[in-house]
Amino acid sequence: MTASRALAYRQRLFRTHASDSLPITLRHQRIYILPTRLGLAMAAVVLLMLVASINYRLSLGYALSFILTGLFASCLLNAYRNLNGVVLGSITAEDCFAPHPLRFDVELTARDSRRRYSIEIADAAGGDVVDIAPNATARAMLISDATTRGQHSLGRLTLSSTFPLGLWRGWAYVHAPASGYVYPAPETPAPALPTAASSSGKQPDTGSRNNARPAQSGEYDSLRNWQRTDSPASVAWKAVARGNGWYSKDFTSSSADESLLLQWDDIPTNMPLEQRLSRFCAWVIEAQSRSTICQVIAPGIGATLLQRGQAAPLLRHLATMDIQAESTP
Amino acid sequence: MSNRQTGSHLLGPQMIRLLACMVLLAQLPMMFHVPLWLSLPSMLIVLCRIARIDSAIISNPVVTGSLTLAGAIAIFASYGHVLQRDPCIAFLFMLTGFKLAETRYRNDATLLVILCALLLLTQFFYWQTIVAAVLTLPGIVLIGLCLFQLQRHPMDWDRTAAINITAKLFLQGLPVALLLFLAVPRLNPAGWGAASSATTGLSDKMSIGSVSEVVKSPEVALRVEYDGAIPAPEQRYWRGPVLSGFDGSNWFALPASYTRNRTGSEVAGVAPSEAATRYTVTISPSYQRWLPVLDTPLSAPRLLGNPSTNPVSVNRERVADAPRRVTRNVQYTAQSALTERFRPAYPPGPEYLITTASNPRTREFAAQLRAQTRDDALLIERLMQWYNQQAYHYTLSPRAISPDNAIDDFMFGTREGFCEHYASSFVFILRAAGIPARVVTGYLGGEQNGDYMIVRQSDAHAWAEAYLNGEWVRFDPTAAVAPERVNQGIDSVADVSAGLLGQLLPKSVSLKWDELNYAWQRLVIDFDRSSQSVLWRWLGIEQVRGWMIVAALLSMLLIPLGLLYGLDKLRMRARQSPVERQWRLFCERMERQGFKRQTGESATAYIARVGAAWPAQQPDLQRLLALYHQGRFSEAGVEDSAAIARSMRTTRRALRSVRAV
Repeated sequence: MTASRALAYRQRLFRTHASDSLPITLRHQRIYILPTRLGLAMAAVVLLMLVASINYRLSLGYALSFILTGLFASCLLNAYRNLNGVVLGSITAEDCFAPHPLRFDVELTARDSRRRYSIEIADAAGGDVVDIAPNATARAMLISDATTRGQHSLGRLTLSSTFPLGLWRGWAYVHAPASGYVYPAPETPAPALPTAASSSGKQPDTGSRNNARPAQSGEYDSLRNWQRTDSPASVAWKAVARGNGWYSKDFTSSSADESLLLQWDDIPTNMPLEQRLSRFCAWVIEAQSRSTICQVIAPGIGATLLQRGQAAPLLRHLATMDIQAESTP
Repeated sequence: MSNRQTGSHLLGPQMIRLLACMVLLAQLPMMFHVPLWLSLPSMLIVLCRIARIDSAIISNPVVTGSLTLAGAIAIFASYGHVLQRDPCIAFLFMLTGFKLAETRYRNDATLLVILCALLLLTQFFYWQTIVAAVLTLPGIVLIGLCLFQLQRHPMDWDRTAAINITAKLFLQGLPVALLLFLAVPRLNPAGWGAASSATTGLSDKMSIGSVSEVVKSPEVALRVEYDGAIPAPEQRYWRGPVLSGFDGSNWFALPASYTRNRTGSEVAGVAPSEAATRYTVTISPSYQRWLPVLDTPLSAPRLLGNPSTNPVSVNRERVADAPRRVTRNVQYTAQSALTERFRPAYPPGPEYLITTASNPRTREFAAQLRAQTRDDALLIERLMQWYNQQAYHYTLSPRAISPDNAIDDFMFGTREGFCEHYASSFVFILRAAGIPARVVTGYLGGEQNGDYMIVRQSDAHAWAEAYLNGEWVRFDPTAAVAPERVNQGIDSVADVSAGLLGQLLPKSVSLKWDELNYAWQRLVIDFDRSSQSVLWRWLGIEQVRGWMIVAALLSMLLIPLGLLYGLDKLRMRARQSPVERQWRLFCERMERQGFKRQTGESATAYIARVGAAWPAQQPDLQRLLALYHQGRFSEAGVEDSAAIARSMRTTRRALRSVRAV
């Protein structure tokens, strides 16, 4: 009972576990303020001044010490106001290939007419300092120190500021649920794609691009809602011209001549898991650049069709694949 | 890692320049109080950095280190001691300049800020004038600016924002500072230090050879309120230590064993016909045991607010001795006879005739006077005439005279001096002529201010007493030379508070300046425990207690927070459109009637719920709803939202009046 209560207090004080959901507005419940080392040193100096003024009865010495004391008070107030009301809007991570570090983009918003100064957002690995303009959003960048493949979540974030004079440090802990994937490092130099003969006896991939072209030029299977990432060539311009809105032509089934087959078992089993993942990863990248679609057979996901630009789920699967997956193909 | 803070410990050139400005402004007020050989190199280094002459020699740590060492040695050689206030302050002054020379990183800069804050304080040991206060202000602001810029990243260097924010911070802190200044109880400690050793008042030692200039300090010695009429200027002799001992060059007070009053009758040695003057004195700390009383005390002064078991005694020389040194403001009442004669119980002993073999010409002169007459009174009269008729000159800054035969030099050489010269030569001559005499020091003068009189340290005076016909009689030889000093006070013969400014400015301006200085002195510098109690009494508080201060400080913290909260609320309301405001008022009204709008309940559902309970008001309610929808959602509503809000208000009012029935 007491242990759980202690845990609850720990969580309230230090927010050690993820329990926050975005967006988070910093309020007085979250903001802590304590003097910095400089603040403590200045306080000691002010105290010394006061002692000297008392001993020598220096009225102006009193005045000077009290002006500095007043400065301390107004700094405390402004340190609080600088953090109060800052909204941690969203945290997005862009997946990347190892050994590049994972990057998190954090949006900080001020919803009032006050400018926020020197707000540092940091996790265990490092941090970034931003100013937030009134009624505007600032983007801070956090770079995770995790460079191995896998799913990495952002740990506890500290939003802090020593504004205005560095005498006080205000901070707030935020444990935001945000994570990103680091894909396995693609093998370099890029290995050759598995030939059709070696896998299923079909034509090599050289023809796939030629096959895809005519399909895109005219016939398509259906229209789907246009997305920003679609190429201009795939936009259904006729539909746009008619004023029916933006659609893209969908070629899914027309180009389904699975000329390219990526098979996990094609990689020699005597290679270590990481190298096998690297090779498979390199294959996926290469296949994506060559063909709009290919077939993939890999443990854990079975046999699927992989369209261009939609490799993320597969790569994420590769990123989190473990040794057990190897033994159960 | 894109961490902009960890990589930025090296200071940019703009920051260095700002720091240099801060150091210069912190050194500026102190410049007048440290020797030139010390201030010049230190400030030159600072100027070099402001002018961006960053030669490698200046910033070389070996050079600055050895310079600091050399400076420390020079300070030791110049001041003669190290671990005392003045040399420490001089060292601090020098250190700030040298520290700036080698400042490269943030940590150096923070240390520099702290040193400068301390340096700003140290000047108050030497002066607390208006000029000092004004010169301090830019230094304080620069300290704030430096702290601000140190906390900011160099890439975000924005001078305007920095100045604005720092100014705002100081202004916000000012009420706190003011309250603390007024309310924090002023302790008057058992002082191990006076504000300035140069502004001492009277001491129990006097030597005319060594001092070539008295300190013209406007510091308050005492304040006095008379019960009856205010004495005439020539009657305001405040009796301080009596200097009866003489060793050839110094006059000093006799040890207490000589002067202790054994009979208690000394205070009553005046004719009963003399009228007693009653008065109350508040004396500033003098760090001496004696309490100034008007000549001649009729009874021992009584300390107020201090029921001490050890009362004040009056010794045989009519000096009022307090039980301990006066280290804080002390109040006492006393009564005196304003007479210049006093009949002691016993005739004076031989110690009042001691002279030494020094000053042969003066001794010869005394012998001549004695040869002319056997009458002591006549002799004294002739001596006073001598001072008056010869070319003696009263000045507060006489030429230096040799300490060995100081009186000879003064009497027949320079012939210029102030009260101490006249009193000591007078007493020496009387003693040489065989008349018991002694030097009395104290204050003469005072300046009426409202219902009380201020006696300042600059009113310090010395006169003589001679034993004549069984009585101690006061003689003031200064009066023979400069009668205006006695009748009109020290200001008539010397510009006490007028320094360089007073000589440059026209009389009317310098008088105004003097008034300002006087107000400053009274309101700011002399603000102490007694002024505080006056302030509290004015506010209707008899005695300040600890909880009052705590409450005041808490309210200072809470009131601004409350204001901020209220302002936020107000601003939020201001952001509401008139239509929303009317709707909110309606909802609040309904809530009081027991119809709280549920979270997520639409306006339509809410009105339906209210309408079900009040069917008679259904049309009005529906009208209100329609108006609300129109105002909030229709395009046209944007243009005449004010009109819609107005009709909403009338509908709302109509609803209220119906409800009230």
